[in-house]
Amino acid sequence: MRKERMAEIRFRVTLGIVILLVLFSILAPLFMPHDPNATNALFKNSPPSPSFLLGTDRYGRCVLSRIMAGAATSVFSSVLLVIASMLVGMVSGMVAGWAGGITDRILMRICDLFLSFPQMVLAIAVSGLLGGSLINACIAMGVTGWTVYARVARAHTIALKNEPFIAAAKENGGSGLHILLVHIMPNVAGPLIVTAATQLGSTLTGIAGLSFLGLGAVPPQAEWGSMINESRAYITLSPWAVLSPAIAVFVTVVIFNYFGDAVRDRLSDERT
Amino acid sequence: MNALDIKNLEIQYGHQRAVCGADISLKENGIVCLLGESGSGKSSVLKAVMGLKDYRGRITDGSIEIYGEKIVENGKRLLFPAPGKDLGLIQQNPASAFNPIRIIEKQFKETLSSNGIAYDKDLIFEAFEKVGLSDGERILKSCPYELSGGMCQRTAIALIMLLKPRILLCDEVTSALDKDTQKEVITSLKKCREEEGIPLFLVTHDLGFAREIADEIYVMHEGKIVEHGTTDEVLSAPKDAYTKELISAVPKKGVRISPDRKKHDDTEVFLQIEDVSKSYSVNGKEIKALENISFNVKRSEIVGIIGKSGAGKSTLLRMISGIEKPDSGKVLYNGTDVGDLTDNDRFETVKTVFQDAYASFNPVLTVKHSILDAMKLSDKRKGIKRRDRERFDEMVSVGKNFGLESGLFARRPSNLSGGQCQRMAILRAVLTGPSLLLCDEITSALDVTAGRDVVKMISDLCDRSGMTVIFVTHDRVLAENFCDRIISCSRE
Repeated sequence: MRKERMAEIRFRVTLGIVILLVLFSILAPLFMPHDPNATNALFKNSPPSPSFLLGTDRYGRCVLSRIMAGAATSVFSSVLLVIASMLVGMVSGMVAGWAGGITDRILMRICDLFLSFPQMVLAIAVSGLLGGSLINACIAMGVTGWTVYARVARAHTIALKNEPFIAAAKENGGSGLHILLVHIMPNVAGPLIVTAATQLGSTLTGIAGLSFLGLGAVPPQAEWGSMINESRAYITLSPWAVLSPAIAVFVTVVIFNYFGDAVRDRLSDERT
Repeated sequence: MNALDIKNLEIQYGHQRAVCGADISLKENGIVCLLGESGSGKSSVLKAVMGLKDYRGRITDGSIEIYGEKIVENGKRLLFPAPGKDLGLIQQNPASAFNPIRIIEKQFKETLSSNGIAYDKDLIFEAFEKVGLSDGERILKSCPYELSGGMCQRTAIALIMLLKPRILLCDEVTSALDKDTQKEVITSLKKCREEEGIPLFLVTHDLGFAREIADEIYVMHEGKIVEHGTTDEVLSAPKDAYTKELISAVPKKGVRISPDRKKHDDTEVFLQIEDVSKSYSVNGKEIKALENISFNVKRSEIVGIIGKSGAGKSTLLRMISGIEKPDSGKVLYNGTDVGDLTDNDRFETVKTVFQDAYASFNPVLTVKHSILDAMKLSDKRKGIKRRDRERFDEMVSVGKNFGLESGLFARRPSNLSGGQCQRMAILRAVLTGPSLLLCDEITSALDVTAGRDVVKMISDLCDRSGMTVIFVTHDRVLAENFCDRIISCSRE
């Protein structure tokens, strides 16, 4: 029971932190001390001070303000991308698992096609084709991101569709769609939510990575990856301009990963 | 020195005490049965002895010794017994002993090797012979789902005999099996003691099983040991009131469960099975599941179908419900072939109650939501428009007749007892008003008191609503005491 109680506490604490993080990313622009895009020649590469708590970058822009503006970009886009990938993957996986036969084979071969490419390599190629922007970076990440959810959803659907409660649902007259939505989806959602929670960190890192390569958010838009890219040449002059967004990425990824673990532990306790 | 000594054991789940002050001893070379109904705490005792790492109960007091070695003292665990070497475990679900997608041979190799025992086919075949399994080569090359429940269980016992644990723990090992297969498993378990010298600690709700195998019986009720003695002392001359009640609930030959049940000789024929045959292709071989089966069922009749595992009972139910079509012959409802019925007519006419009540409910939904779903689909077919609140009120009202309090509906299936879950399954079936109820071994997983309550409830339901019931069971005495008529199925 102590183990369950600890799992519950961990889940609530990490959920609270994630909610605060998402709220922060939404509300941060209201509390920024300075305009994140305002340049100031007098304060280029300034160290942290009472006026600029995290210093300034090579254009004299407030690093803290850009971190806060970047939170909205990085965190929000990661969360939205993961949710969209999960939904697409869930639908395709459930349909493949339920229908079986040729439908399953076609959908899974499409899945295999996307899985055969290393995710970042394909994302870079797609981003390169579409052009650099945050939306294109999200599309590039999403092109392969859905496949892991599809696999998980399909496997669970195949395991569930021969269960007695599905036979009971069929006997009660439930159509295929009804059974998928009312009976299969609630069972599949748990493992998918766990997968999504653990994917948040890698998705955020992926978007930051594309931005770092110049294939994501276009300057002067504040985004943590592009901030690292812009300031890395001046790392000896203004290390805070590189370290601050890097630490922001690190802390956020750690929070998301802990959240994913907590969700997994919580849901596995619920099922046993 | 005893093989197992449990003294003053107390186990809690959260703040709820599941076991209180349990004192149990197992002699070297002895067989002890811990007997009790669902929820009495007997499996909790077994799991506490086993010391599995994911065990959710908390030992709060008492001690456990294995051959004089303390593993729990004053509620604190000192040692985890080595699975396989110290303690062997066989559980209720025969298939759960093995990985479902790996052949038996690989699993034997892995288990023996992880216990430092060389893989020797001759020894394995010898163990198979001891438990009454022939064709060892086929068994080794099979996956668990390709073996019957009894074969799976005996294969698990054969593996245990090779591991030679110091004590063998068994949790309801025969409740999912028919009587003949139960006898084979009992013989195999006795051989564990006689030929390998392994003492047995058995948990069961089946008095017949306990009578056949145990030297001593401990009766458990609401977490406490209420009676203890030799098998004869406990079963022939019980002292405790609960033990007497348990023994009286066992179906006795010739004693009708509902003696006031009305006769239905003059009702019309409702269901006709005409020359139904069905075969399946397994690994290229054709296996005949049913061959030229014919019988009629009158409206409001309770017809029992009995037979061993593999006799074709469940296949027959699938033909009757229309889930599968027979290869030849007809299934007629009031003269209409089941294949010619519209889907809506079929859904309204026949409902099935499954053996595993827990598995027949969605595990993540509350039973209320599962039952409401069935009611909504039925209302949609009938063109009835009403709110969920009205449906729920009907559910609660009818549920009272089934002995189900309103608070139970908010629970998930895993938080109900076996008897409660089975009654919920029957409630879900009858709320849609079927003409025919198919019951597939619905009492096999229940203890005697819960099973008796369930069949009595079905009998009363039939008398009130005129519903027809087909009751599949491997318990001949139960079928004779409950059903109006019996049909026997066999493979010969």
